[in-house]
Amino acid sequence: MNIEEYLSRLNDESNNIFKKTILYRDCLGEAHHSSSCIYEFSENISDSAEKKILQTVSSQLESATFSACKGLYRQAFVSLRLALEMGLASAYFSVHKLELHEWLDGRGDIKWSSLMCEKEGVMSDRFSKAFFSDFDENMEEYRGKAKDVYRKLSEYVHGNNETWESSEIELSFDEKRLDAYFESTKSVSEILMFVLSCRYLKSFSQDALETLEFIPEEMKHLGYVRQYFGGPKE
Amino acid sequence: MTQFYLRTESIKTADIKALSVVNSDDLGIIGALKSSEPCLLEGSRGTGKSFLMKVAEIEIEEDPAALAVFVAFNKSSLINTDDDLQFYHWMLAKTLKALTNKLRKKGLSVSSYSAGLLSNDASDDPNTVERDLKAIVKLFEESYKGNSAIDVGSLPDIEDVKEAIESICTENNLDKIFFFFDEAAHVFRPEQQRQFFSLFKDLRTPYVICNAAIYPGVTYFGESFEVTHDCTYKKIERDIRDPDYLQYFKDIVFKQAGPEIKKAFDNQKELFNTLAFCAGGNPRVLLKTIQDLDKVNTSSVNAIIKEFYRGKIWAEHTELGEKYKGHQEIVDWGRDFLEQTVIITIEKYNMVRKEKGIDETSVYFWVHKNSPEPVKEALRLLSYTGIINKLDSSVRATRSELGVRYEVKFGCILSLEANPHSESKHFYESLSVKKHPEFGKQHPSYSGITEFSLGKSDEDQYKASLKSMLEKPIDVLELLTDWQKDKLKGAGILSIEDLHSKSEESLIDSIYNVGPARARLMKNAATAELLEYLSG
Repeated sequence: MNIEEYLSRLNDESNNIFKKTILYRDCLGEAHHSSSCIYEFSENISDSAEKKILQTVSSQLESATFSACKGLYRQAFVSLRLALEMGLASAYFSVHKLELHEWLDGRGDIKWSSLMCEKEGVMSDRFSKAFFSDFDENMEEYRGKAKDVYRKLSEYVHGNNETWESSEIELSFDEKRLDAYFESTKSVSEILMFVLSCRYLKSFSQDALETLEFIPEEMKHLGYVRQYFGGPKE
Repeated sequence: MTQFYLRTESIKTADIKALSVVNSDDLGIIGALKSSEPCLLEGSRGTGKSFLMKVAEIEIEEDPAALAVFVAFNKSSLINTDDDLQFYHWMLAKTLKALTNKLRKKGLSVSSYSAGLLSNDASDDPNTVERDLKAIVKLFEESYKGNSAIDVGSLPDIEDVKEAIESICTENNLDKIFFFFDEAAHVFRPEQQRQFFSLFKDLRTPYVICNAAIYPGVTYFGESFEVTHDCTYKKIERDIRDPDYLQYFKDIVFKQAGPEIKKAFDNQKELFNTLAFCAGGNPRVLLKTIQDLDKVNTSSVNAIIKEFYRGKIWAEHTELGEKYKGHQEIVDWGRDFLEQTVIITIEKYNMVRKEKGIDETSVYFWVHKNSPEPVKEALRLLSYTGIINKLDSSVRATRSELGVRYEVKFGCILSLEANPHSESKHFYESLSVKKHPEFGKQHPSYSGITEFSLGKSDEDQYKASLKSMLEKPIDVLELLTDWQKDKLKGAGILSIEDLHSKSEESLIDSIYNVGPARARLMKNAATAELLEYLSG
């Protein structure tokens, strides 16, 4: 077998996985919907750098799903984790312009510990107090969710004993792994939508809010979000 | 105490089924919501309309060939227009937008930019029907946002929309799309509600089924919509006299309650029963009163019953007056009438029977069918919050007169007792729906509202429309016969304002052949017209 044959066989196998995965239409649709929502959300942000980061997040999510369809599960989880980091970073950079420019220049990194800092991070009470204080109520819960999903995704990125077993890297359809991917995507989207709504909703005009029907739809379980969009009180 | 979900919206879709409790009536409602016939679901606030709709949505989507779309018309996004057509387009755009989002979420359409993974050339796919739908939405949005002068004639009409939806269905192997309008009519003025029901009717095709939740008493269907022909009409009724009432409500609470509360109520079943009866068939009220309990014991239960049913329960009703500004006076009068007249009269009625040793109690009252229009309106508004509930509409009372029988929420009557809990069981067991005080057509307590005043709002638009309403000739009053109109004109009463400003007595005095019955009828015709308008 030469290299062409070898890669072609891998490609065939990947295509077989693709055929099986494509049958999960509801889950794939939901993942696509989430990334589209982030894109549509970004269109209302006036700062071009913040907007661009979020549009990259949207692409990251799409590429994660495509990797998962092709059976490249580890790559899917890597992209998903990156989307989570970048999405939260866009909110962080929106209030730390110096760090934004250092990051754009390649002189700075996104630090997960800074994003998650209980006192100064994007999921801190200080953050919600500054932009939409009602989000206080659920900040701790969502910070917990973010840490949890990040830890799970990191296991695939850095690898632990389980994920580095050769059978886990082999190219084959893995329903369990695919379910885990869809679950994680749901969590990542929910967390991003939560933080972005906290950061930006109050800065949007009524017209802009009008175009974001998916927010009250996806987040109506949070009474204050529902009410902000004119929905019923608790 | 434990935090409960008081609104369906607060529950994530994934958790709905686990919290669901359905009895045979509920199954009938869910069945109607899932059927091919459009369905209107009537219930006061907090009775579980949204919950049943969510359950229906989940069950509908178990079938891959069906799609359920929830549409929310939120107050804050409501356009302010007197142009009926614009309003119709606005509703249609919102509805189609909800559909496009749902199609995307279900994987049946892909967002136009596809997040940059496909190059522009590759993603350029202008011939999809989803695109058509989006284009239609955009045209409608532009028409009512007034950004550009658009010839209304060039806009797609409802047939185009239905055709686009049909193509989506055939291309995606969908048999049916169900639209759920939750609280739809609630945020609208009467004129807008009529438009809504036209749309509800217009959207009907073999592929589209509309369902809507509405409140009792405050819904205007308009002329083109006939409730008996155009939909299945279902009411959520949970009568405290139903044999499965207690078990049903216990299941609802226990699905959400923590182990401590469950244990406490299992040990003191009667306390739970008292709270469940007080709620008068309303799950939200029951959950709220249990949530606000300090402890599961008699003194806490007594305290919460007095606090809630004597005071807090009125908050929503009073808010209604703020919402329907033109109705403020009637809303406030309704509260006074119920609190100071009806409930007190029922209390005395029960007291007298108790003193006589008769084992009968009542939470019911009867109102003559020819009562003044503002009284009927006030009672309609009281049924919206569920403080009273209309039981039957043509009940014969003393001297065979016809009238409407209402039920006052059990808790509102029981809360007047010094120790509500100790009275509850016996009071409930002695309930007799046939025993009730009566309020005739000329009851003295009506005097405060028959001459209600108009025009409390300062808004210019409101004033101007009210003026044009008052200036309309009495010919527009459909409730009057030509003979009656001629008689009124003969007495110099030409406009609605003229009629509104006259008292029943002056009509009797100034028009030959008009006695108390005709005078009431004439006044009611003008008042009904005004009240309907004032709801906005």
